[in-house]
This record gives sequence, C-alpha cells and structure tokens, in this order.
Amino acid sequence: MTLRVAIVGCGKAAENHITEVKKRHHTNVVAVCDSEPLMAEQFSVRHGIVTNYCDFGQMLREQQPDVVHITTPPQSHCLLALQSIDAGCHVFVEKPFAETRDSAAEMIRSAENAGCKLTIGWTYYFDPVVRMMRELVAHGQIGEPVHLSVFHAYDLQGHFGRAVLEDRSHWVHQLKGGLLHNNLDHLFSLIVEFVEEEATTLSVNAWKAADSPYAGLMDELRLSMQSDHLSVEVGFSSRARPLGHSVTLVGTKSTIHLNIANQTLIQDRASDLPGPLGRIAYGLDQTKQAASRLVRNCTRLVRSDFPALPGLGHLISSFYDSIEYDHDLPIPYEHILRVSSWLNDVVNRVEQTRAVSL
Amino acid sequence: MTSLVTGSTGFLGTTVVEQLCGAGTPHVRCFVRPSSDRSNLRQIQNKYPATDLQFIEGNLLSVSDAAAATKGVETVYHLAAEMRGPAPSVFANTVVTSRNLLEGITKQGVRRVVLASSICVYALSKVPRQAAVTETTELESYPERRDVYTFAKVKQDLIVQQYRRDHSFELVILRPGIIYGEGANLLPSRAGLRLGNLILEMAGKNQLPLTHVTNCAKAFTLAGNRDVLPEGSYNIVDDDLPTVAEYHSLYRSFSKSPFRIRIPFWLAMLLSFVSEDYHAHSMGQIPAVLTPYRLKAGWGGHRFSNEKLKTVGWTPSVSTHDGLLRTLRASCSTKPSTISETLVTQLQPSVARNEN
Repeated sequence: MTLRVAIVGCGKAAENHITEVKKRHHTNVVAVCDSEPLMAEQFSVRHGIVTNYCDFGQMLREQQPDVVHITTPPQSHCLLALQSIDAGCHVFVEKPFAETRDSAAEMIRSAENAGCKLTIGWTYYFDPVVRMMRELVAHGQIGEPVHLSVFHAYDLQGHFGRAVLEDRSHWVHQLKGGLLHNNLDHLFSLIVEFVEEEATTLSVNAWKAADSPYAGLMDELRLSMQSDHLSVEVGFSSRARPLGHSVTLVGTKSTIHLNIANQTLIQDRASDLPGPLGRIAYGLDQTKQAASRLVRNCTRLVRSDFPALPGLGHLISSFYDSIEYDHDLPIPYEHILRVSSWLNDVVNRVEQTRAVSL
Repeated sequence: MTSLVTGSTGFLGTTVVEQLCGAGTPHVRCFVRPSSDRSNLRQIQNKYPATDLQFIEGNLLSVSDAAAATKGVETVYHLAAEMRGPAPSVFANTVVTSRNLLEGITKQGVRRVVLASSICVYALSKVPRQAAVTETTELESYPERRDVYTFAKVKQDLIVQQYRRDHSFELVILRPGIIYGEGANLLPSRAGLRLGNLILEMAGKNQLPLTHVTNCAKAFTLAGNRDVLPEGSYNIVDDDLPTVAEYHSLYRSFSKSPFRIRIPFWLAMLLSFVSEDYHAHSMGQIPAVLTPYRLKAGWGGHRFSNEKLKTVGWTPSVSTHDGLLRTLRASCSTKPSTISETLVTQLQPSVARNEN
C-alpha cells in the first residue's frame, strides 16, 4: 500500500519532514499547502510535488491524503489536526504539539475516537545516542536513575533565532512562553520517560540575557523537578557554548554523558583497581569509549546514516510502520500529555516573569 | 522627494544611502529591521545633516509594514534580500518580501523602482564557457537546479517584471557581480569552495566578475534618476578584472590564507558528478554543493559585459587595482611581504592583459 502524504506549512520544518518522508518506500507526497501561495509554490517546485494549495480544506477534499504532516506555527496545530482527523487522516504534528494542555488532550481524544494515529515531531526522542542510552538503562547498566540533567545551548544568532529577532510579528513572540515555549519540548522529550507524572516542579527561573530589542524575550531558563527517587535539572541558554543538546544521567551504578550534536555517548564507570591505578584505568576506559564512538560515527558516515536529524527519520519511519502494520505508536500519548502539562506550568510562570520585566 | 532604501543596513545598502545623501537627495528613508545595527547609518546621518535621513522600522514579511514604508515615496531602491540560510528563509525574505513591497509600491503610486538583482539570474549553464553574458541573455529556466539564492533571485526578478507589466511604475533592474570592498567576504564562492581551512580554487583562469561597492552604489544612484538611466536591466561589473588565480595570489600575500588546492575545470566537473551521485546515494547526508549544472553556471568562466551601463555614463570610479588593495589592506591583519608587493604592482598590467 502506498501512503498518500500531504504537508501543511512550507517552512523550514517541512524541509526536514519531506527529506525523511521521501526516504521511505511506499509513500508519495501528493500535495503541499501554505497560506502564502508563493511559499507553497516554491516548496512544490523545489521538491518536485505536482500540486500545491493555499486552502487546507480544499487540499484535504481533493487529495484525500492518508497522512498529514503539520509543520505550521503552533498556534494553528490544534485546528489543522482536528480538521485532518475529521477527514480520516493520520497526523504528524511538529512540536510544540498545541498551545495548551487542553488542546493537546482534545487532539488526542479526537484521534482515538476516529481511529487515527497521531504523533509529535520530537526529533531527539529517537536520536541514535538517546536510543543507545535507553538500551543501557533497560539493561541495568546504570542502575537506578538518581539524577538527570539536560541542557540546550541555543544559537540566537542562527537562522531561526535571527528570524525571530528581525520580526516583531514573528509567531514565536505570540506564544505565551515566547522562545522558551518553542524550545522546551526538545528538553522535556528527553526526560519524559524518566520522570513520573507526580514529580514536583521546584523552581523555574527565566530571564533575558542576550542583547535583543525585545524586553520580554526570555532566552535563559533553569528549571528543577523532584520525584521520590529522581531529581531533574533542565537548562536553556542562548549564551552557552558549544551549541547543542547535552544529557547527563546519573545512576546508582554508573553515569552517562550524551552529546547529541556530536553523537557521542560516554559512560563513567567505577574502576575495580585501587588509587592511582584506578585513575589510569578510568582514563583508558574513557579513551576506549571515545575511540569506539569515533569508529561508530565513521561507519555511519560511510553507510550514509548521518542525516542532519537522525532521530526524525526514525520517528517518521516508526510512525508510518504503526500506520501500515497497526503497531503501537512510537510516542505514547501519556508522554505527550505529560509534556503538555509541564509546558503549561512553565509558560505560565515564564509569562509572569515577562509581565514583571515589561 | 523621498527615496526609500530597503536593505539599508547591509553592505551595499549603507553605501547607497551615503551616496544618495552625498548627491543631495532631500529625504532618504531607510527601512530597518528591529534587530539591525544602525550605527553606520547614524554616522551617515551626522555626516550629511542637510539630508533628512529617516528610519522606518519593520519587516517586509508584513504587508502593512511594506505599505507604511512606501507611503509618500517617489523612488524605491529595493536591495533587501536574504543571501544564505535554509531555502524557505531565503525565499521568504527575498521573494515574499518583494511581493509585499510591490503591493505597497503600486498602492502608494511610487514612480520608480530600482531593484538589486544579480548576475546569477542568467541561464549561465546554457552559455558556452568563456562566452560573454549581456543583458539580453535569457534568465535561468531551471532555478531549482541552482543554489537557493539563485532560485529566489530569479523568482524575485520575474515577479518584479510581472508587476511592472501590470502597473505603471518605472523599473530599472541592476545586476551586480560580486560586490567587494572593506568589510566584505574576501573569498566569494566563485573564487573557490571553502571547506574548513581548505579552499578548492576552481578554474583559476576564470575572470572574477567583481564590482567595488562604491562603483556598484554609484550605478544605483544613477538608476534612481530617470533623466540619466532609462528603464531596463543593466549588469554591473568593473573593468580590468583579475582571474581567480591572480586574486588568490594577491589574497595570500596579505593574509594567512587557508590551504589551497588548485582544481582545473575538467577535474571540477568530474568531482561535481561524484558529488551529485553521492548526494543522491546518501539520501542527502551531505548537501550537493557542487553539481555539473551549478558548476557550469558558477564556474563556467563567463565574462559579464558592462557596456550597456557604460553607454549611459557609468564608469567605475574605483579601479580594480586600487579597490582590491584597499580591501585587502583593511581586512587582512598581516602586511604584504616584499615579494607580494611586487605581485601587487604587477597585478594591474596583468589583468589588463587578461582583458585583451
């Protein structure tokens, strides 16, 4: 069966989606849609898609896609997803899933009632090194998780950051939590499987550090959570370098350090040897692991397994498998709802801080 | 009489604004984005107190901002464009912004529009190697096979021409070559491809279609004057242009240049086939920066004619020799060696020979 795919929103996120969708056999991107006709046209010309629309309803009626990818600004996600589900489509929604937890719940409820599949574009959830970490945890190599720390060093002068800074009416400014609202999904998606729903958010500190013309544009965040057995720290910074996402998972047996941008995973293990010998053994172990990562990454390069967003490819592939073979969804709905709740909580607190700073 | 300059904080825009002020334009309106650095424009404002230099803040992605910018304007110098970044950003900030501006232009009754296009919009892959490219050369028919900037600039050119056919404003399209000068990128892609600390110098015998920012801005100020420049399109390149190899030799004498590998055109063509195949085979793991089509267009050794612009009185006021020396001296930290000074003095006759 060839799945008919449509994409709504012809911006940067759509580029990533179509690249990964095209890699999959038995899929055909039949149409794209954007409220700006020029954007829809350029996307279809560059990617060789015959049909483009600026009316989403018309596209659904005429093309009758099996799957719709929603890569528009988050303010429109809920409406477009509900419309797609009404038309009987499976839906892949870019992050943030919805503006509020209630909207997220409504989308999931509609999908379940209609028998449609729904997922979210959490790129890092299935990143190769994150999957590797998941395997180590499942095999008991780190013991019981004790502390988790995730950090995102963000480039406010990058292409997307500059677009936000250069445009006062950019959709990021319209989000309740601004820049943080658009980025926290990446961090929360990395902790969601470890943190129980009852975890308490202890503190949320957000502030503006970068030199930008927007008084309310918070670009630094530190957040901590606590459950019975696990403490969590989440950090976002537009000043920290090098850029990218890092994760540290401290366990009762060992500790794991992930560098997602550079695709490395290093495990800190206690040596059985005493004193100085132990320190040398530790160094040797670290070197061995780094060499192993280097070889693994070289192999991936040769095997053409090094796309810009490797996790997105895996996620899209798993989502399409779940449609074609009626497998479980790659991301459980409870994870999406849990993150939506955290986002709600955090953006409310960030909004209060913004109000004070304005 | 108010003139609007979009892209006014950019490399070319700042010089155009300065020349308009210097030419005595009474009101110059600079369109600036919220985060743009306006310090250079402030200096110009202080230097030319007789000119009413206005700032209007906004983003041309907004139709209302574009309409506000064009209100009461007689001449628009449209220089704003996105040169690099993801394809949708480059397209939106070049084409959608132009369409919005044109809506404002037609509604507000702007009399004359001067568009900053580029020599890249020509169908260069179809033009034989080393052949001359004039304003009558056809535009690229397959811009999607070129880079994202060319894709956007071709579409921008077509949209502006369509609006001209449907409305009554006057249109001058200027197509500059590589704009250089103090503060510009010293290693443009036509001079080679940079990979970290390595530069692939391709087709060293090709002439570099340079234009000094002062000369280029001069063409823009002329284009705003309907008594001087008739409607139409004009290439802007300077005279006595160096070859790629000559440019690199000069550059290396001023700067700790990256490691250079010289690649003749035939080898570059071979590499471009490999690059294109690998891109397809690896499903986009490494972008297809070099393809046979792009190679023919970007490194085909075409010579761009500036005769049409010269016939209406434009001449480069900064010679290539002086412009390059000034640029390299200002931009490079190291002083040229004695041997390099010899090379510098030899450059002018060398490029003159090359022209002949």
